[in-house]
Amino acid sequence: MPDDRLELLRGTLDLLVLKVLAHGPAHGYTIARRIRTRSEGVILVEEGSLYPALHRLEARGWLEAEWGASEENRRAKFYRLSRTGRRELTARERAWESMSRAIAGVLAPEGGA
Amino acid sequence: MSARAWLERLWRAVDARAPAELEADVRAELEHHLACAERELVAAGETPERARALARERFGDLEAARAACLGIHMGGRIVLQRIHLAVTGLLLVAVLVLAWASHSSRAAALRAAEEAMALRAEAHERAAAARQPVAHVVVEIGDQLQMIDEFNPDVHGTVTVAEDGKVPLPQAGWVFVHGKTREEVEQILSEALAPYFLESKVRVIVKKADAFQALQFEAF
Repeated sequence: MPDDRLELLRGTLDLLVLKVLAHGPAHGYTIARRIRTRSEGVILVEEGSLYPALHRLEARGWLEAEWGASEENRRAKFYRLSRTGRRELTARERAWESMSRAIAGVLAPEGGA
Repeated sequence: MSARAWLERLWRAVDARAPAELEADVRAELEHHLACAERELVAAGETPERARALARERFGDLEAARAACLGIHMGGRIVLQRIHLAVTGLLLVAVLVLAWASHSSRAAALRAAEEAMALRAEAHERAAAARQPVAHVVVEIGDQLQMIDEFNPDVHGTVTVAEDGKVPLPQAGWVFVHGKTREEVEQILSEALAPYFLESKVRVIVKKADAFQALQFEAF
């Protein structure tokens, strides 16, 4: 059902990646799968764009990365939220909440509030 | 962004790994992703060939993703290389400026030393010239002659040129000196004394009458 899927808004991929990693370290494939399953398949993360985002966040210092062994004992790159990444996540979550509240307010039926 | 945050970001962005190692890491990471996707699709019942094709399709442009990842890591390195180049250039300019400044200050010091030497030499010459007896002083009536015989030191004294233009000499008597130059007077006096001594060479200092009188006038 590709029609039901939503393209990610610009900048929201960073927020989703930071949020997924707030629960613990993960490699790229796990991050993509968690976003897909937690959004119940609605959010379409183009896998090809996930990796440049991960590397960009790593270069900014919001993520830390190290090579380790995956579940099937293969060499995999694991990402972890850094302290500045955690601060960034909190700020972005707050911004997102106020934005979605504002949008909901605009979209609410007139006189309903 | 503060300077510190910018530096921290640059420091993180600069990957110490060699480009080949970076490229191998990115390739391994993306291949790991495709392998995971294939395994999941095979577990869901797809054939390995179909699973591989589906995984690639779902991933999108693999080459573009690889290039983007590498670009992010190389970006910091390029910035650092530019900074390195700029700092090297600045250092080179600073060295050249310092060398030029040192050279010009040394040249200026040399020039100043030469000028000082020239001035000193000039002053020396002037002082030497000042010490020289005034040439061609003409002896006149009333002038005082301070004289001494170099070979006969007991022949010495100060005599005044008399109204008849003569000065008295021991042994030789009166000798005419009026209108003669100092050198001529020395010659005349030496010759006048010659008959009385084995050798004679008279030196004379002329004290002009007018200057002498003027001095006396001032003194009184």
